[in-house]
Amino acid sequence: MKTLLFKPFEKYSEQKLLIAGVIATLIGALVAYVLNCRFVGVFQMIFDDTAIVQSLIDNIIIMCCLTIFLFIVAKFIYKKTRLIDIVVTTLVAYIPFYILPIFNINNTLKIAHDNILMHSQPELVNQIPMISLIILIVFGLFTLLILAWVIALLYNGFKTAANAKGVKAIIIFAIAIILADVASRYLIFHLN
Amino acid sequence: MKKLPVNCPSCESALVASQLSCSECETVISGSYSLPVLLQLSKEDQDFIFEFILTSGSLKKMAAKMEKSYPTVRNKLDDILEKINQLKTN
Repeated sequence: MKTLLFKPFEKYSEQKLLIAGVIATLIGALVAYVLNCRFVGVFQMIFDDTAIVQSLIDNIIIMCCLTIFLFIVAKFIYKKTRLIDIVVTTLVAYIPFYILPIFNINNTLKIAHDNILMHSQPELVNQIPMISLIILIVFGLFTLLILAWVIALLYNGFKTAANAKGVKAIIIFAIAIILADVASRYLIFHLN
Repeated sequence: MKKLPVNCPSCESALVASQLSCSECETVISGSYSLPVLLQLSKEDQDFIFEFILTSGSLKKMAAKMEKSYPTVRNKLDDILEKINQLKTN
């Protein structure tokens, strides 16, 4: 079970992982569209009404940015790194993020978010609905867990694909995903 | 099967074979023979190399047989190659 959740790249073939990743990406884009969420960066989700095509394009841009940056640094660490191993790493590692839009069923998160913004002035802070606050705190904590899971999956996939070891590999990996996040936000922002 | 010790339990230096004997006629040969590099690897690494030969050097076949992914098996082979190179230089 631990292997399936955190280290699927060590056990399953690239064909199986690719099929699972592509199906999950399509379902993730559909779920985000239906529940009015958008992934607008590797580590950013917003509440927005958008077209299904746009939701899919957002996901493709994120996957491409992650793949390109991780592949470049992986090749730098280990010349025998295969592109397919990095592609499946990004596709599969992103799957846990597709759980997050489920919190926005009936626009629950959007309403809680707007409620808090409406009461953001100092004199109105006491009137923030408690339920909105609880919803956002629970969502925030859950998001942190999901984020840790995604980064663990990304790193384990990268480590397997690039035979990466040591502190140097961790630093290079961290730089790559930060650059991928910045690049994906820039591209999604400027392509809309 | 008994595990062949390759390092000294006291100082961890590489051991050498100092006596060989014939189990049939009990002839004993004394000397100082270095162990081959492959014998100095761990049992797990030796088994891996054995499987590698049995699959005609196909990492894909090995991955399927070991129920591991291709990069995992390739990484294992690279790690063994690194160990062999270290042993050769020592």
